[in-house]
Amino acid sequence: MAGIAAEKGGWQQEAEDVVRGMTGGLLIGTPLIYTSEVWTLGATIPPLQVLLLLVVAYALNLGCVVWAGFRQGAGGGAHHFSDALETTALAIVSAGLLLVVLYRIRLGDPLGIGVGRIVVAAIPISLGIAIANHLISRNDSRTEEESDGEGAQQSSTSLANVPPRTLLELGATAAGALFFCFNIAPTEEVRRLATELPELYLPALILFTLLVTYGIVFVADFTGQSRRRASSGLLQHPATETAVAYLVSLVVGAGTLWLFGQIGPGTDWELIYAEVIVIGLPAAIGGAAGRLAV
Amino acid sequence: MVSAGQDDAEDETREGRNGWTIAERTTFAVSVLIVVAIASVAIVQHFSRPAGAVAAFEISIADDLVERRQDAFHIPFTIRNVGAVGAREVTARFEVVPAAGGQAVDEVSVTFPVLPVSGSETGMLTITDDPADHVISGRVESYLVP
Repeated sequence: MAGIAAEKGGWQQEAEDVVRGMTGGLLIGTPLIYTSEVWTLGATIPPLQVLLLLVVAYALNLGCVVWAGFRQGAGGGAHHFSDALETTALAIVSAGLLLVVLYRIRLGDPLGIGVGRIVVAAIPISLGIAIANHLISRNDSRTEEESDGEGAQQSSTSLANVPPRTLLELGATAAGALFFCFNIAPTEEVRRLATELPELYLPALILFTLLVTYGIVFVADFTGQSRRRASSGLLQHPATETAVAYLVSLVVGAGTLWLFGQIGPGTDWELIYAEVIVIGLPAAIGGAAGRLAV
Repeated sequence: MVSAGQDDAEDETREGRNGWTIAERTTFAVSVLIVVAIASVAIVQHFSRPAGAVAAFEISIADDLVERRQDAFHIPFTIRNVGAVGAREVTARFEVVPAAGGQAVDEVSVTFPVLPVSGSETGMLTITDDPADHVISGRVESYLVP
């Protein structure tokens, strides 16, 4: 019985490690994937250089894993080598998913283009995965309240019911979203993605964004996860908080697009919709990071 | 309250970092497959590429799909990289020459940021001369390779 329970716990811990790694990677790598240079470089890079980039990514990941580690256990020795390989593979999967939902990898594209773009985008993502543990502190002791056990949880719960706490989190979401949006909104890539994305990709992008931000805040075991799950405020339910934070991120995204002249009263409303959804992904990821910081 | 069984389970899970749990083995195996697959594609592509490979382009002008709007003629065209390497900043130059012969009466340049191997891009030429009385030709004027 203990063996079965251990294995079940092992799977759960493994899943947490994988989700935390992937979300940490997306926190770091998403802004870079919104650059046309990455798409261009990925499509024209020679195969030998793809191999070289893979080796470089693995070596960098190995260094980061030895320094920080992306797993919950202590690890060490041979585990560093396997962890670095898993970090590289997770980055490849994350980059592939992101490039597919952004329509940078399409059915019918030559295989080399997809592989080139994935590997170029995977390097920053893999670094984010490798240092996920150091990126944002773990769940256990970020704040004094959380480290005090159950009593502290009750205290946090009661705090969460107070409107200022909700306002603080909404503000943190907006600030985090703003931080990411200011990097991306002035670029032409948002318009390009919005015009090239097929209509059916937009709902998929919304769903992907919601899943990623839910993963960052409620699954990845970053700071404050248990407090958030225990909280009972209107906006503190995981699904509600994810949805409301996404809406706030969309508003911030739309605001920055308007500020930089990317959208305006004369812009076609379908284009506005597409641009806001496109910038909504980095905005929501920034918003999730902002909420983890408070 | 934590039962003895749960304690054992947690201990065994933690010990998994010294040994390997099934979950870790599975993740590792899948990771190896993913990295090897990506590396294999790059290796196969490298060895299937002829030595001294260059980019080569094919431009097709669909003069049977000309659209006339007001005083302009819109002619779709496709440019394809049929070479063995991808190219950046591909500039194609189109010339409109009277069918009876003589100098070009119009010239249009179009630049594409990237044309990967086997990749193609489409575009639209807009000219004021009637294509029925003119010959339109296109060629790649310049490009960069990585």
